[in-house]
Order: sequence, then structure tokens, then C-alpha cells
Amino acid sequence: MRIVTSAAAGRPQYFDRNPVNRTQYNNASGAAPHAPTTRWTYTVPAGKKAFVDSLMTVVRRELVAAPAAIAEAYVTHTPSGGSAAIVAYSGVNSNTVGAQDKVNVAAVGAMLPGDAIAGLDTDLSTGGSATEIVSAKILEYDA
Amino acid sequence: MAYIRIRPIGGSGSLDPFRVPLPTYRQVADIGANGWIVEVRDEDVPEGAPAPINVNVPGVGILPVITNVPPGVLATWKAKLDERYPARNKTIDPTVV
Repeated sequence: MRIVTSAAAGRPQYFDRNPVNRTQYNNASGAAPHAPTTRWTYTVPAGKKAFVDSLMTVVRRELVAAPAAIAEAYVTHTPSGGSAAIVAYSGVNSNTVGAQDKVNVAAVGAMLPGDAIAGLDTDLSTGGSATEIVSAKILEYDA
Repeated sequence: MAYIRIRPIGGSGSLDPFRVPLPTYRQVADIGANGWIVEVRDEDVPEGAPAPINVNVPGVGILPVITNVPPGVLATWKAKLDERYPARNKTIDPTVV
């Protein structure tokens, strides 16, 4: 027999507290060089928390640049009232067609109300093109 | 979920990336001088907005997009977002175009 005395014993697990799956995704396929761009953001609403289940970033050189510079895809986490930090990053500084960097991150962690994550990409090359993908899977639930 | 056409901000560098000043969105298309078409979730859709118009987005297709929201609706929308995302209310300032 299991005896529970904690006052919190009746509180469901986070994934049973009105959970909603949230996804964010962007595929800048064969994109021309561009300045840093926020393709998506997700902010935890008041009264909610969220668990970032997984992130994925991909960068792939598609057409030769002249010259190539860094092409990046990354996800940042900005805590409420704080500064952004990168939590997933892919970068390619090669001019070889097909050069690729891919990152998958699982069980990134919990987010509190007002915390935000964002998917960004950039390609600082001159000419050519690259594909940049930024993706996230998030479970939002009652705080 | 709804599509809204919004004027992006930023662009001066890595600390000021191109973006739209909304707490939660996904870019669907960059249509140049006409702004960005972004997707917002059901809870964040402006109430009382005009009916969407069909916009043919190259490479994406025909999308029903909310455009040209009246000032009163915009103010109500911003107030709703401020309440829903109080920690970000200083950065929420969308301009629907």
C-alpha cells in the first residue's frame, strides 16, 4: 500500500495539467544571404508553464557563394526579464555544396511564464544560397 | 490560428534581428515592402478584426490574411496580448499593414 502525506499529492503531473502541444517550424529552403531573422517565437503565457521537448536546427550550403561566410540556424531562450542564450546551434562556413550541420536537442527543459524561445537564421555570404531550418516541439501546461 | 500581415522591425544586426513585435508567431512569408505574413495561434487572434482577404503568396499558395486592422481593434488586441504576456508587454507593438 502506498501512503502519501504530502499536501501536493493530489496535484497531477505537469503533462496532465491541461496540456497543449505547441510546435514552431521554419524551413528557409535555398534562401539567399540575409541578415539575422527571427522566423518564430514562442512566449509562455501568464498562468502557464512549458516544457521544451525537442529542438532541431539545420544549415546546408545549396549554391556556391562568392565568397562564403557563416550561415547559421539557432534557437535562443530568453528568461523573463533576462538576456537571451543560444540553446541549439548549427553553422556552415564552407563553400562546398551540400556542406551541412544538423543539431537535435531533446528534453531541453522547463520554461516559466514570460520566458521565450525563438528560432533565427542568417547567411552572411555574398551570393549563393543555403537552407536553414529551425524547429521546436513544446508542451504547454497549467502552472 | 490566423494569418496576419505585419510590418517587421529590426535588421541592424544580431542583437536586433528582423522580427515582428509579437510574443508568439511564426513567419509564413516575407512579402517585401508589403510586410510579413505571420501565423498566430487562436488565443492571440485579434477580436473584431476585418474578414481576411485572400493573398496569393509565391511558393506558399492562397492564404486568408487579416490586413488593415482599425486602430480601435489594434488597441484592444494589444491590451489583450499585454494581459496574456505581462512580462513582454513593453515589446508588444504590432503594426498590421
